[in-house]
Amino acid sequence: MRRGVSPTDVAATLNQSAPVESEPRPAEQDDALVKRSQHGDLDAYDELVRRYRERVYSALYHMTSSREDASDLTQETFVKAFRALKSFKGDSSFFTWLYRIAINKAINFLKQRKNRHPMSLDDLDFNAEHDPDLVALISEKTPRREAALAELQARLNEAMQKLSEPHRLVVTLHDIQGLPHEEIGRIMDCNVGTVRSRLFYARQQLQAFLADYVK
Amino acid sequence: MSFDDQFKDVQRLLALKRYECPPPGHLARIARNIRATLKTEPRDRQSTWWDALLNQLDLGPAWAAALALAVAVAYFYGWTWSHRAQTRAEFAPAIPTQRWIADANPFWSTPFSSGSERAARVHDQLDRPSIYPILGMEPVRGWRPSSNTRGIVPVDYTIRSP
Repeated sequence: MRRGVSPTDVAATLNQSAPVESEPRPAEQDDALVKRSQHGDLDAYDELVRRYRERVYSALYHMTSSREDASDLTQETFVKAFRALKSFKGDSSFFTWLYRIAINKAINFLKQRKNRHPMSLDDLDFNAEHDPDLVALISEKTPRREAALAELQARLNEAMQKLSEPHRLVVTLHDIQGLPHEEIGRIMDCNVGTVRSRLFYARQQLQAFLADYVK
Repeated sequence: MSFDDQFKDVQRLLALKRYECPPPGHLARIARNIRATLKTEPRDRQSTWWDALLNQLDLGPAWAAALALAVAVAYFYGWTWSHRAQTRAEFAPAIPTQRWIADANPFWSTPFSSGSERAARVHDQLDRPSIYPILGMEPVRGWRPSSNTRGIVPVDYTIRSP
């Protein structure tokens, strides 16, 4: 059992449930850091890495269900982004641009990883056991809540891995990371209608895979 | 029922994934690795030759528009030039002259010593169309065999000089 923090702390730490628009940091700061990084300032780039490493890692982790793969891909994403910084003209936000690199890396990686890969999942945060929604879902099934949560986590990740990459991506970005449809459209280079339709089919499939847990 | 209400339970289940956290210090280690990797690389190294090329070609919108306009003008000019109305003179085939033949083959260009009367006469004939006997000679049937040509050239062809 690790440190005790509230669910809001977890969400804030992971920066996953808040939409991009509610970013507390002004965009100019990112722009200034990007400009300095473009001139080879590694300290400025370090700051950008510090800001976005959690989100990028999280997206890649949910796409791969593997801590090791997500770590490697996160590193590769930031290294590639630094090398390609000269071509970044600021047409989109740095975050969107960085996400595109990460997502492309993940999709290419998953295409190469043909065989089913054993999952290596991150630990569940302590507060998961106290999430009222999850408690309601689990408590009816078994009194051993912790074991049930671990089982649910495994089933959830298995179900995610059964989705196609575009479907898994929209679920990751919207339902897990909380990005709005428009932002997802910009990242995936498609319109909002496509995002919504992919989200619909992905949820429908997940509902079927997780029928035991869904009413 | 709204789009999101339809899958409320699935969304609740997916919320569990927000609680999946990497071990403490894991992300800091990743950041250190990124820094170490970038420090060991030359700053201006491009990942691939293709990246380098794309970066080289990375034009601003104004330059891209100017380039596109120049290509369009060149294409339009080429198209109109290739479809222009041609004059009768351009259609008429050039008649080959004996000067062409003489220039092409040294045999015909130096038949006589320069300055002689025959050389002057041949020179005058150079601009005649090639349908006339070549430089005053015309191929006729019949071959005058000699010790050098016997057995090599068909006996029924010969060249008779004027």
